[in-house]
Amino acid sequence: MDDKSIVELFLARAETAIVEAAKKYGRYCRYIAMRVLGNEQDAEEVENDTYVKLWNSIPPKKPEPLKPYVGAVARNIALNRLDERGAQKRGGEAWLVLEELSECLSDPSGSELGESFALREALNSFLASLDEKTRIIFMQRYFYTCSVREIAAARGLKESAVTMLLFRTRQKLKEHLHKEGFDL
Amino acid sequence: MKNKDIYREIGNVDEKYIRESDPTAPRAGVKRRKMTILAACISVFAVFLSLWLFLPFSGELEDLSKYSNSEYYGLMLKVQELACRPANYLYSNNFEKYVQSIGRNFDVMEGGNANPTSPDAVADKYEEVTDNQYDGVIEGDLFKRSDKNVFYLDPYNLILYSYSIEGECKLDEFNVREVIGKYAGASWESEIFLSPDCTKVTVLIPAYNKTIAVMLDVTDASDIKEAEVVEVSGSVISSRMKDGKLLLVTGMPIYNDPDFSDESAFLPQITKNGECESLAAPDILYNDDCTNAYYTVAVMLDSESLDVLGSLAVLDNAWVVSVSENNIFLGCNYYGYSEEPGEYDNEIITKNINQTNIYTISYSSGTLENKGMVRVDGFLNDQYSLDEKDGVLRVVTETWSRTGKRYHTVDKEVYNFTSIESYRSADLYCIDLATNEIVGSVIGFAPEGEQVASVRFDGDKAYVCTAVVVSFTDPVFFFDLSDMSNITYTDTGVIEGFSTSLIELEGGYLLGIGYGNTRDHLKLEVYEEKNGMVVSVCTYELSGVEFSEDYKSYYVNRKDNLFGLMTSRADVGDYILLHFNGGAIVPVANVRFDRVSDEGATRATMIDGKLFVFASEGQFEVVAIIN
Repeated sequence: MDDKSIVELFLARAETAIVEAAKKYGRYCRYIAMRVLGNEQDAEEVENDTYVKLWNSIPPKKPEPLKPYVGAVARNIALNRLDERGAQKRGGEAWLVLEELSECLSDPSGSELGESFALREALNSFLASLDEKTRIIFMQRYFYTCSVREIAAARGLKESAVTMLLFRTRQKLKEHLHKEGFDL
Repeated sequence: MKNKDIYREIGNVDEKYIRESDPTAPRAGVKRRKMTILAACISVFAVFLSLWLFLPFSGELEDLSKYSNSEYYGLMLKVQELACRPANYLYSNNFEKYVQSIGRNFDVMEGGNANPTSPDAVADKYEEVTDNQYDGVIEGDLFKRSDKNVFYLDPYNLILYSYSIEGECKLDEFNVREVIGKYAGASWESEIFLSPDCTKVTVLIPAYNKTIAVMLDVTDASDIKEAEVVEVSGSVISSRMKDGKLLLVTGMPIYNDPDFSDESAFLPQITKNGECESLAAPDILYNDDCTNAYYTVAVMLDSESLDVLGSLAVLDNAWVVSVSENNIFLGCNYYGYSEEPGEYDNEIITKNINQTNIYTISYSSGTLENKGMVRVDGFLNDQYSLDEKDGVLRVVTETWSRTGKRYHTVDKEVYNFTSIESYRSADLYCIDLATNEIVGSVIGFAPEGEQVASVRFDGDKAYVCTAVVVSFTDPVFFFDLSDMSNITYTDTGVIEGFSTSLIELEGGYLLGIGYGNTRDHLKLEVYEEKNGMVVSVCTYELSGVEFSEDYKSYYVNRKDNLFGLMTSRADVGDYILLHFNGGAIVPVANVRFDRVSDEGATRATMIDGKLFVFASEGQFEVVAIIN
């Protein structure tokens, strides 16, 4: 079933919408949650919570295409679950990603709504400034929490090349955020 | 965690960027290749090639029986259960499969010559500057000192300050970035130790998935040399030094689908003098019900030579490490889970409860010995949530449970709804370390919904601050643990703000450092136990400031009831030194810094009536303290 039909089912409050969304995007949700949480049981729960969130947010939202929206919802729920585990940060690939990003922004003050919006806009403009290959690798690492090894294998690159590209991109991000007025 | 916001915000970027980078979607180039292969099916070669490409992967895990003679065979099976997925878990066939490559590169930059600037000659008397949890069990810190020099890690450079006790303080600086800077990955999590004879500084440097212990010979301050290097798998979690032994605890994740023919992929290892050894199978502990593909590795090193004296690993993820005079305690989070049929055929009641596996590793015999594990409900807040006294481990946990209902569709494959209820409180346990049995407990003492903000044990007493961190209110609980079969407690009642650190002071007083009514409101409060109650004696508050929750960044002088910490407003820092005079907290000194990028990196010590303050970016100030 195509995305538009699934969204229409949600809009019509038909429970089959969840069934269809699960058929089409269940594996995608678990993939994202597994990357963040590293735990199959938690990933399964995140998938379930994602359907609830979709049910509650469509309507009023009418996302099209649906897949990026599902991905963003699943990732946010997985991050909330990571927060629930405790204040400490260690825990698999997500921890490594956090450690890498720490060099970009020492204190983004993300709790402020205005700051959060500004940071999002700054990230969008930064992504727009990157070439496609760099942007995809950056997003696979920091959105999908893919390991350097997976990215390198998928794109036929050496791990060291991916590591170096990510390092340089983080440096660019740091400069970009600085220019945008974020505290470094 | 500060950098979590940027990580989260990447999740809200334009959807086109999320879509184009989707690793689960076939790439455009791959699609073209697929079309080419289909077109080539007219030839026999193409048929075989297509079969190879599209033959579905097996749903079975790799057969490890070929390793059945290995001492690690049992461990391999457990790691496979935790970290491996069937070949078709992510990719249905070879066409989708990523080419796996092995290992991680670790670029090592070239070293250089040390700065020729020469401070005074070597010092000779060790002076403790860290407020250790246990006397004599020295914790790693950003700074250490002798009676002549202070070493401060900033965070890529080891800076040496020397001073003279006669006349004005003299400052020299010795930057050894070239010596330790080549170990990429050094960060604020690095810590140092100073040897008892003050001739060696050991720097613990977290690198990618390993920790490098670098011992520097500081005998001649004008010629600091790298003396020994040891690498241990996993990133440093905690470290201690006691009686000439360096205890290092690291955490090592096992990445998905490890190559079992490569020991570095699934076993913790130690490298010394270029020789790499995996931990022996008997030194790796695991339980049948462990759920983490993650090792916590404890290593005991000789503090003079960095020779390995013992090592032990558990297949579990330690979030909190506490080290008493005889034992290392590893607190590993465990997620209990159960489900049972609900009211309807398609309903399942699920229950999640957070628990902690506490492993005890004895180091008193000169090597590391497993002393067993005990599981308690709840998670630990920090190292001060654990305390050993007279063979009894006292533990405070923050408990959390969640009950949910899940409904299946008719085909029993897809869940279509989940509702959640959660409960949060706190427990206190007393565990006999000889038997690992709970011999006393107080269950659910915190008001529902409160989190544990700070804990401090002091002899037969325990102080616990729980808080509703959203509304910034807390009670402080006082426990009398003198009779473990009859633990009694009382509390202050609700007070505005909450303490993230509790510090016992002389005379039965307790100091809380934490927040007032907002996140930018510093509040210090002194409590006193009076007639079985804990009452507030006085407070000191500053609004509109930021400060660190890192306990090691506070200066604590119990003897003189002095304490200090860095505060900042708009990047301008003020290090404040305060004195509790029995009735009030009064400011003693205020040291101004032009910029403060990390309040938690600040360290201070008092030397001969002068307050020395070391801050990030190599900043240093010294002021005389009158009386």
